[in-house]
Amino acid sequence: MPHEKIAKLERTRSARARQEAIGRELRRIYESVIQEPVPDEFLDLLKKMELQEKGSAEGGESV
Amino acid sequence: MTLTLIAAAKSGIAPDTAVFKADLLALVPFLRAFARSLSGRHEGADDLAQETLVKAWQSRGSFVPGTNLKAWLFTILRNQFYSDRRRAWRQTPWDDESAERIPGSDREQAWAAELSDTARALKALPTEQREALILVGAGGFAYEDAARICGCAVGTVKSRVARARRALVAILDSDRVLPPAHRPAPGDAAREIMSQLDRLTPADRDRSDVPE
Repeated sequence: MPHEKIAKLERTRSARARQEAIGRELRRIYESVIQEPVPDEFLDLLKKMELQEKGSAEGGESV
Repeated sequence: MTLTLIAAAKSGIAPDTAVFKADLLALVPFLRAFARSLSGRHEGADDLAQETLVKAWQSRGSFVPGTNLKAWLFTILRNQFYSDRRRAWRQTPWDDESAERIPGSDREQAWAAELSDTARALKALPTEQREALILVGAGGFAYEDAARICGCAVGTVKSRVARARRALVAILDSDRVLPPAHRPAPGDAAREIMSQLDRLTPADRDRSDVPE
């Protein structure tokens, strides 16, 4: 194989390896947030919204 | 799911509401990850995720059961992110770039210091490239789903992801020229010029008795 062709293949291979490494790092960054425990505020917010709806539904029934 | 239904029956709330709540809760970690990587900041990202939950709750009637809830929520989060940003632009005379240069709280600065090179480079990407790369490259969304979330054509998402990947490499390469410790801090160039000017002023010659 001509030298230039080998060099080109080498470059393609190393560029691909680089992209794969960047891809792994991107997933690691994203996954690291997913692994964090969910702060209580989120559960509180969902509970509040549910209770509010329950309250308004009951209010509606009593009329 | 069964447990949720039993709990719903006991509490007297319509089962679909309880199921929807449980489904939302299960997706909160993903909303937080998307909010933080999209905005590129720690502070405010959870607010964005919470605003998304409120919007999702209010408009859950428009969600078609059995379709991709995660993609639906991500669409809401993305729209919220852009509308918050537009509002911030109207309220402040800064452009996007200078707003990002203004340091946030100590906690945010500490977090920024811990960011990997890739995370820093990700922040430097244009938003439309960043969101496409996050959705496809980190979130594992198919191009079709990412296109639906971003409200654009599949081909547009593909080209944005490709451009984002090339840009990340270019940013990481340019960073590598100078190790982090030797990167000039903002204002260093101006200070250097001022000190050179000081050395040239006549006042400096008058103070020739001051030892160098």
